[in-house]
Amino acid sequence: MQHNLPVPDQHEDAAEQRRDEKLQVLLARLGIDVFPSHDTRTLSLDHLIVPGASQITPSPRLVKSIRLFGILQPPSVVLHAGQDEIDPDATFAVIFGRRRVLGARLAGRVETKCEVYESATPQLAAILGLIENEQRSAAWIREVQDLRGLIDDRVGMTVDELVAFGFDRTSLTFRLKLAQLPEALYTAVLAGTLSQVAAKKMMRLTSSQLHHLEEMVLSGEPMTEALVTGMLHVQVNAGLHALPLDSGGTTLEGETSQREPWTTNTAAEDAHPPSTLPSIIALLQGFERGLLPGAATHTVRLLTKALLQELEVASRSTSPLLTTQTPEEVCYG
Amino acid sequence: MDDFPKTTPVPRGCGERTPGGVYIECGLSRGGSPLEAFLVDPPLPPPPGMSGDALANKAQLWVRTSRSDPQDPTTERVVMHPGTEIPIVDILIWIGAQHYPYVSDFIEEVRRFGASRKLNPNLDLTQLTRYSRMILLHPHALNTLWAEQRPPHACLKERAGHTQSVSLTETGFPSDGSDNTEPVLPFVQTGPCLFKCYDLLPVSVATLPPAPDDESPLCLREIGSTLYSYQPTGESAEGLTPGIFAILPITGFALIQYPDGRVNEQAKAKIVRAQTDHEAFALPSYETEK
Repeated sequence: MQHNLPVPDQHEDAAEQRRDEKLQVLLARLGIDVFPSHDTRTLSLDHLIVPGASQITPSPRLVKSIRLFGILQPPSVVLHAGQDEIDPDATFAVIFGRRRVLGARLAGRVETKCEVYESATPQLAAILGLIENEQRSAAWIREVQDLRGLIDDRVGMTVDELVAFGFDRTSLTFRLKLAQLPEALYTAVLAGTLSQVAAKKMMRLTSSQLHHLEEMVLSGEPMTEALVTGMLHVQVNAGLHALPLDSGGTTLEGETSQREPWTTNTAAEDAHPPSTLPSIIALLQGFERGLLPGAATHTVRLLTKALLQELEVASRSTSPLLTTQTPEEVCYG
Repeated sequence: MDDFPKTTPVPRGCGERTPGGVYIECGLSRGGSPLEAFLVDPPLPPPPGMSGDALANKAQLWVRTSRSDPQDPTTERVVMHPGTEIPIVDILIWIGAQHYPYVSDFIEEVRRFGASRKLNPNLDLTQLTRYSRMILLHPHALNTLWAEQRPPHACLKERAGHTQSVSLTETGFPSDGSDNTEPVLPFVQTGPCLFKCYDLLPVSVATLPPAPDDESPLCLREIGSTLYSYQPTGESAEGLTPGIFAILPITGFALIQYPDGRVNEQAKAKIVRAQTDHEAFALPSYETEK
């Protein structure tokens, strides 16, 4: 069987050439003829000078993370004093990564890898910072990927254990939810076309909406923020299903069997209406999400929101609210 | 030290939290005390010299004192942290009417989302500890016309003399149809009630007004992310004056991040220094996007 060699994509070559030209223009504005070369070297922290160190305080979380794992992203430095970079008495000024260097000292580290640039200007320091920030802003996707790897490898770690390692609990919970998405949606998140804001919106979709979104992506629909936002404002059928609070679970004659977006109950659940405060709150939240924005639903939306807030406050109370509740079930039920 | 009560990061009556800002919080938790435990009813008049002009956007630190004889100023002493010679310092915060026209607006927001107030980073945050309290004042908290007005619909602190709990006939006997023939003392209001402020809200400020023929109207009012109900009586709100209406515990500081993840380093340094100095008494802090 003959295998064809991959043919270079001529469009990609042209695009890359245009990017190089733009980079040259940018470097010229920075007063740089060519991007200064840099080597990766391990340097003693005692030989690093941190400009403005008195104005910077690394967070305890950063120090803890460095103590456990070291500096994962080498700071950028430039020769400050000494004959050359290999001079054992040479000192280096930190042009980017000052907080990491100070954090390493507080963590008791003695040396660290650095990207040593042969020259630097303030403009170069700024552009390095922008590049690093852009890479960092895309780091959330990398973290989702890493978490998915842990899940696939069946590494059992609780959220509390990860927090103890220095992860922020709120952002970790969000990334974990993304890591557990169905394959098609997970792959779309990794593609990087979705902003973090849009990914957070996706977490507000119900399970049926996520399923619908997955089907759309599988059928070739590109995953965009507009698509996710549109799902949040999905239309409901005229004529609401009866709320599944009566034991009969009746529906209006002529209704289709497709469930409304805001109902998440299965047929079995319809026979047992929600009787706990959290389940009633969840039902109301689903109902609120399914309401079309507009004048016709203005009053319903206001009343639903007000009732939800009152119930959420009441759920923190030590007194039972429902006749079905016992004092032991409140607060944590 | 990440597990402590925090507020809910929603848009509030005063808007969204500012990147680079430092906020003092009274966060929410299951198992905590209900908000009523920290409301001051009746509201107290502001300390001398502490009006809106002095306090608006300028929270002030206030050394806590106590008197063994409330009537004798010479018995006043500074209150210290247990087992130390370090005074407890509280913080006086003015809740302006610009963003919270009515004291009920702020109370209901705190009830749902916790309290979060921006501080000047130049304030000496090192003086605040877990023993410190947020003393909150509002320009329209203390009702001076209470004696001329009906009692409130409800007093959530159930203060004696604020609202009657039994309806009486004209003869002073209970109208619940019971056989009790013992005369019940007529209800006498004893002073202003914080919760009367809810009843004094006009119908015109409701987001969702009541039905036109409703004899006992129920209105919904929206402020920031908060929606709450009130029953207007149509009585005059002219008698509302400044007062201390709440004394909240402080659960920590929130440092709001800039887009690049940095926070106000000056404020953070003070907080970190306080955590080192005060150890077990220190207030925790956290960094957040909003």
